[in-house]
Amino acid sequence: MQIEADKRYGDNVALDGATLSVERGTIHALVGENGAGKSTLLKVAFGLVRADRATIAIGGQTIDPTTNTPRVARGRGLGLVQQHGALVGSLSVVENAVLGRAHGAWVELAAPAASIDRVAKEIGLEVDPWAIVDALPVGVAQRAEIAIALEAGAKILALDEPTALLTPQEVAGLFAALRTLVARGDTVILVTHKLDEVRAIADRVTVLRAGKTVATFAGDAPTDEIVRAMVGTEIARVSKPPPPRDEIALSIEGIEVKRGEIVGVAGVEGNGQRELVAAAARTIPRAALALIPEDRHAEGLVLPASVADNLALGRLDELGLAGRRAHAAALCKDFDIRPADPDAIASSLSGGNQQKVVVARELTRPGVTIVIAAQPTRGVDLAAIALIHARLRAAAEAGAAVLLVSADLDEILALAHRAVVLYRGEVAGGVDDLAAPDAREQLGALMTGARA
Amino acid sequence: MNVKTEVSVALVALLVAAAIGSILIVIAGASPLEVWIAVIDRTVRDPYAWGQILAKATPLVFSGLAVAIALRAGLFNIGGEGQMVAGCLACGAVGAALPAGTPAVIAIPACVIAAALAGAAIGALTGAMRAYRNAHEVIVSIMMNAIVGGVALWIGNTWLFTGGVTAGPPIAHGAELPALGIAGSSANVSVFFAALAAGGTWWWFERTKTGVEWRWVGQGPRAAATAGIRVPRAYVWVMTASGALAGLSATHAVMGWRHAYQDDLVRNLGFLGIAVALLGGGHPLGVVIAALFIGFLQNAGLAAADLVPKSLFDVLSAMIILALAAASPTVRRALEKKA
Repeated sequence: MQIEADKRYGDNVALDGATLSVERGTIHALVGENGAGKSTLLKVAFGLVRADRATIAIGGQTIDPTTNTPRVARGRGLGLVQQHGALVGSLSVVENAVLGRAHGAWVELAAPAASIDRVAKEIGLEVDPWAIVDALPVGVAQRAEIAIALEAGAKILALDEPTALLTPQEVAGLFAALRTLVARGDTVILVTHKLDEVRAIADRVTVLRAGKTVATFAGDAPTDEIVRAMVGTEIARVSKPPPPRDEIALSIEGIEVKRGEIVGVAGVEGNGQRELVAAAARTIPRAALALIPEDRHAEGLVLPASVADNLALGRLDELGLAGRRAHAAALCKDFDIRPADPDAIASSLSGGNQQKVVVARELTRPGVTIVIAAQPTRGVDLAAIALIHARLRAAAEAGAAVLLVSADLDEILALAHRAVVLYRGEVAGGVDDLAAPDAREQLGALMTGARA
Repeated sequence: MNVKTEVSVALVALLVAAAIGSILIVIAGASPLEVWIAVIDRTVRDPYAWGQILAKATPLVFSGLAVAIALRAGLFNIGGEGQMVAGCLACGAVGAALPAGTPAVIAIPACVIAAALAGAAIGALTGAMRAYRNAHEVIVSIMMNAIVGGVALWIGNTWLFTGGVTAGPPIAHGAELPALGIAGSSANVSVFFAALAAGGTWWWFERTKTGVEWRWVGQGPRAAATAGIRVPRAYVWVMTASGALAGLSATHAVMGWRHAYQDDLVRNLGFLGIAVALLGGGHPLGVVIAALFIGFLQNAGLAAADLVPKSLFDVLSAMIILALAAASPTVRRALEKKA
């Protein structure tokens, strides 16, 4: 498959001549920072987004981009598994499969169900076609989505950040299935920002930056080289904070955090992380707490308000109305918030800069002794991740007790002193030595409830 | 809030309404051009019309502000109707209870405070239902309108109304707000109270910490709560202030105009306040302009009464609200695309 496309949203250039050329029978990774255009490029290929200009060719046949729709794309053998699951939750897997392609008054379900079962088994996946999607764990729902795409005749399967919500064991299962697919001649496009996954599975990797294709590497190219292509500069690695002090500052739901300690809370999402953060927010006096909420848009920011207002949110008694601007100017500089304009509207900032606003407001509260950071770098670009990690580390070094709730094991392994795992609303166990070679496997086992 | 956008939205809505209004005028058998010219000409030339517009706009400024401040904080107060009735009843009752010789320095503040407190009490109850019982404020305000209306009539019939009419005894002379003396129109000193309320509202949202926090609560309630702002408390106080503003419309209706409580003094003015607030883009100055405009429309019905039925202008008022509701998202999107 070949594609080249331009797409603008107002003044925002999403795709600026980005190209992607994928060979049949390979796994091709598509990487880049948030906003680089990965998802948009895929959506153009699949007819979900109409490009301003595009050339698309599948198996040597060109597709007219102006009449490309999901139905057309499906007809050409394209299957897309979207980032946030595109299935209807209240319907069964097989009902989702026939959705949008059923004709006439009667819906035939038995044959498609058998067919789903067969295509899934062919690549080693177990899918119950009659299960209601809402009742399925995330990883299983994703398998169902893959099976639905294959049942619809997909020869080129694209997955948008498929591993974001999976345990290490589920990731291994997914990758095995993808390898089976390409072994029989199908093609896989894998959008990701995890470079270890690229190394693990991709034959080739294309790097997008700011809507342009920067480079295409072999899958085993050095990670540093790929990172440099992604961000254009080198990113400093954050070292672990110094050992904690022997004084417990926070004790919540059986998790104890010492002063100066970063405790990671791992777990597949939906296993009680939200409830844990909510419980902490209820019990800890707000003045002592820096709270970086999981849902940046709803809980972190007042989107229609200015950056200055957002940096003063909940802190007016301390800053005063007149103090907002100077405070904002200082924090914009200190946290590298771009644009460094106190009057900019929060909704106009990129995800990374929005998150920097939340982090800046919370970590600079005077009198903070406890930091609770929930998914602090989700959907955030690499430069912002580096800055946020450095600030969380600095907060711990300054003596705060830091609870780092994250679905990203790499983040916990890089930053935390030790980690606990939530499973079905309870602490299933912990790993004290995150430097141990099998720390990741131990956490993964706890995440699936293997060891209680 | 983008002022340019809001003004453009209002203008587009007005043009659409004027176009449809013209069609209605044709159906009514008159010439639209003739009617529009007559309306404008008779209004501009006639000082009595100016005064009447001011008088009609005064209570609308109060009810418009009441809706606008609630909107700012993310609440939809459609209980203005009941809050106004409560304010007028309290104002009329207190005014009538005062000894005949009470001086203005005592009588006026007493009646003003009674009006504000009564409206505030209804608003506070609505706000508390929303904040602490999570009962939707729209449902609660509708029910409060019915309850307050019924209770007010019952109180009036039992204690106030005399001589077979639904009007209470006159308020003490000292509590009367004098007319402005514009060609015998009913415009009175309460106009200044309304202007003061608009200015105060602007100041509150721009220059006080609590006002700014209320705005944040309206724009992002969950983020405000997460950051430590007490959102339920804000809801109660916003609705209290909103109710007080609605209640203050009694300064015009009771103290400035009828000098007594009457049953249907403020009928529909609470609902018109919604239109005023939306037409004014939620901004205090916009509310004042919108109130004057609705006042103009109401008066226009009388000015052109010999050409078309007065009810046509009532229809027109309602159509502007419709046009505004329909135009607002579309026009806003179009403008944002251009920007």
